[in-house]
Amino acid sequence: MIESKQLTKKFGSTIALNGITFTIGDGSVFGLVGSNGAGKSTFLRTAAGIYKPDGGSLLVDGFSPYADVSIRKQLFFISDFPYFPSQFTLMDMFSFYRAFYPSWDPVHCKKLCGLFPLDSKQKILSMSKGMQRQAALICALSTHPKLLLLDEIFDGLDPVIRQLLRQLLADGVASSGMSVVIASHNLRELEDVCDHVGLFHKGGVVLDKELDDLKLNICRVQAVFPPLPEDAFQGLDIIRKDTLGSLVTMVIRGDKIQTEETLRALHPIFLEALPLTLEEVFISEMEAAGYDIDNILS
Amino acid sequence: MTSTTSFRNFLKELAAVWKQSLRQTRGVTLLYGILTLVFIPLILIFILAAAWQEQNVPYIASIAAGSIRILFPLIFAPLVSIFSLLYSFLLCHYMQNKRSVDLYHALPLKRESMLLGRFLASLTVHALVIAVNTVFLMGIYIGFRLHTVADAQSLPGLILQSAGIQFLMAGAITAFTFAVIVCCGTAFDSLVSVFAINLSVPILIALCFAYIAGCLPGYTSSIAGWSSQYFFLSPYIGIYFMASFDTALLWWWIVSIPLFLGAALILYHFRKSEAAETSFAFPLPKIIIRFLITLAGGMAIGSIAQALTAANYYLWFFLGSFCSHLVLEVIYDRGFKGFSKSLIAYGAAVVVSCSFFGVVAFGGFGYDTAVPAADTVEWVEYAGNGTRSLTLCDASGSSYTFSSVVEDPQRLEDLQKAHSECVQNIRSQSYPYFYKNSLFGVFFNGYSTSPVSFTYHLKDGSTLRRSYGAAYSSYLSPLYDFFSSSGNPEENVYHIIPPSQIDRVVYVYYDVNKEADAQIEFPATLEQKTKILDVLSKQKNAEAMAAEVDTETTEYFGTLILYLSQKEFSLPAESPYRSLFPEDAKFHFPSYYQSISVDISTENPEMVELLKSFGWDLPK
Repeated sequence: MIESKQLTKKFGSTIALNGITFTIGDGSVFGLVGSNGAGKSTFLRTAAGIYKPDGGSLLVDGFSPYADVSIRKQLFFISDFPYFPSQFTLMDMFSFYRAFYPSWDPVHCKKLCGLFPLDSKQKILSMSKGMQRQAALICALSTHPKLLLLDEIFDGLDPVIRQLLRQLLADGVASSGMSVVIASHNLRELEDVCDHVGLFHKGGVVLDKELDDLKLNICRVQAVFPPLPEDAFQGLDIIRKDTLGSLVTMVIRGDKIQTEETLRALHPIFLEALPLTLEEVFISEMEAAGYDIDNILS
Repeated sequence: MTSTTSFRNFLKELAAVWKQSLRQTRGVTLLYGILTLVFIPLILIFILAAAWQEQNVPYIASIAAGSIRILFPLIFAPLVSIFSLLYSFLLCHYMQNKRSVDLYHALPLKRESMLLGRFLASLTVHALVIAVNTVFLMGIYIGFRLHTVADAQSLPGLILQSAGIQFLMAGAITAFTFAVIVCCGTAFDSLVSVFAINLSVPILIALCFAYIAGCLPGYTSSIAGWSSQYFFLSPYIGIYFMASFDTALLWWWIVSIPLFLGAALILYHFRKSEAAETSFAFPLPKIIIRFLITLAGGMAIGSIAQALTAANYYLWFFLGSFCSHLVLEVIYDRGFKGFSKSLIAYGAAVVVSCSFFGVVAFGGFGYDTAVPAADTVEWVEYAGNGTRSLTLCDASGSSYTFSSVVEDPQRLEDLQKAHSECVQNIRSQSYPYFYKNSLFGVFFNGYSTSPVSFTYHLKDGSTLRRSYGAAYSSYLSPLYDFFSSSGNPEENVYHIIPPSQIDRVVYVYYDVNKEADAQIEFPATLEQKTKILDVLSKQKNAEAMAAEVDTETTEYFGTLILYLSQKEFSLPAESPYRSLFPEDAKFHFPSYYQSISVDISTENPEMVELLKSFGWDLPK
């Protein structure tokens, strides 16, 4: 479990993390979203023990990853640009990590090598960006981390490998209770893999919710109603309402079936309730919270 | 139990890092090994093979010893320093790159083991290469049958000593470079800092001493000229001194390894990962380096400009220091962005340098006028124009200079008066003391050509040394008078020579008939030798100074040569010099000091009379 309390990190006069407080539970896949410079990568590096917090604390299972080496044995961090020593092949990287991670599993490593189409004797730096990420993933998953920290991991991966990664992450969570934190500004990618999301903005956490809560408790309704009194929609938590001729489009917070039933009671000529994508959910929630969403997610 | 487990884990981590580091640098290690073997044993084989044609093993042995003495400082030392630098950067560069920091600082390793493992890997490589090289050199020693030559028995010791020195300096250089790299954010800044420290510290120390010596009357320093001790923070230069067997800093380099390494480990513990790719990880090293460069640059440019153009030293100092500050700041900041802010640091450097110039100008807190009262002085040793001195070595080979001494209370009072008079002469003419002469003159000659220097040994056990260079000679006539009035045998350094040290007495003269030099050896008894030394000791300095012989009027024109024995002897019981050495201290004349020459002429009547009284015929 990651517990962040008033976590602050500064780079000179720039405040990258400004008193962040939230918790990431065990066995979850947590998506960190936010625009560039929101503090996602800084948070991951702090969680990986690379950065020392300037204020507050960040604990993994009760230990500070910066100060406590033993907890780092259970973590693995893949940065947005994974580093490999020059001249190193994948085989070299295996022996490199094997020396430092007691949990290194050569059998699992061999299995992963079979899943990812990589030449283990090729120099990693001569591989493509996506292949380098695959190499980093093989190394990471071979250590059976309890907490996997991934920064922009989908960047550069082809659809097949993305699907494979989702599968491997799901397997890891299911089989060993692995927690995964994925930072990305691509909400569509996170939607398929995360069960929990947090939105970072200017070094703070704007939103931190379970994905199901977010998605199931909100829906978009398109309907055409006969003339209705002013207070016809009273009792509904309408986040957004647009009217185009007689077509009304509303984003409504609440249970989808209940909302649909309430609206059908108004005898609509046409009614359709649609689920929202994660991006739409975020936009709606953020707008409701009064944020200028275009600036946050641009 | 917990601490034992923790230590075991630390050792495990250390071993893992060590192995990885060796693996990571194996290509460079191979290159290092090949270059070393090609340049040291192979060159030596070629040299000895060429000498082999002489079929003279002792000759080959001397060639081998000479070659090793040249090859180690000339080839091995540069290789060791270059590869120490290379290894340090290869192994520590990760902390200066944001991407590699993400990999290495996320590893489940203590930072201490991460750095120490790399240091040990670097040392291992050096040990391996030096050991292989030593084995090859020993092979050459046996292969060329040098072990059969008595004179070459010391050769294995020389090889081992040189190898040990190279290994020691490899450790010192690596530890120093590690510490600098930990302080810096980029490889470029590290490289600039390594060279800035290595060059600025000795230059600054040397020029400060030279400045003081050039300004402050009576200033003397036990560290003379270009001393290897100035290079205590310059291991990249210190290795050449050490390789040339100048081991003045041997203990310092041994101590420096844990010191530099300890500093590197502590700093690395506190180093922020985000310092990668910034100029400096800690602000203080940058301030110190900039300060050193500013002052060293100022003093160097001031000295050079003044020496070349006789311009005002201070003007060029400030111009030079500003330029040095500017250049370093632009290099560190990659532009002028932080320059205006850095002017505060330059201002601080100016204040420090002005304080230094001021202290020297106004007499160095009374240094210029300090003359001890005669009743506080036990004895004084002095050397000056015309006075005699002897160089003797002790059993360990360390050499000491023995000069004239004053113990007589009246003479001490006379000396105090003469010294005070000189001090007042100088002060009335040149106070405050600003730099006017070329620093280089003082720097290279000032210490050695001092016409007058003396050491007061005070009754409280302390000493006070003063030395007046050639620039002050016009103010020193009271001291010259004092020296020339000496006639007390106890004041003459020759009285410490036991007569038994004189092996042979030879008279060398020019034989007019044969038109060639000729010589006569006199069979001197111990009593005769004693009398000769006695006459020599009684000579006043003024007489000794009268070196010019009137060739028109002199009756005799030759030289009496007293050949000296190399055997050990003790200082006479009455010599005050005994208080400076252990009770049983023994001395001998150095190998280059084989004789004492005495001019025999009518200007030296006592000696002529004495020799005649022995019945020795002195050809005219």
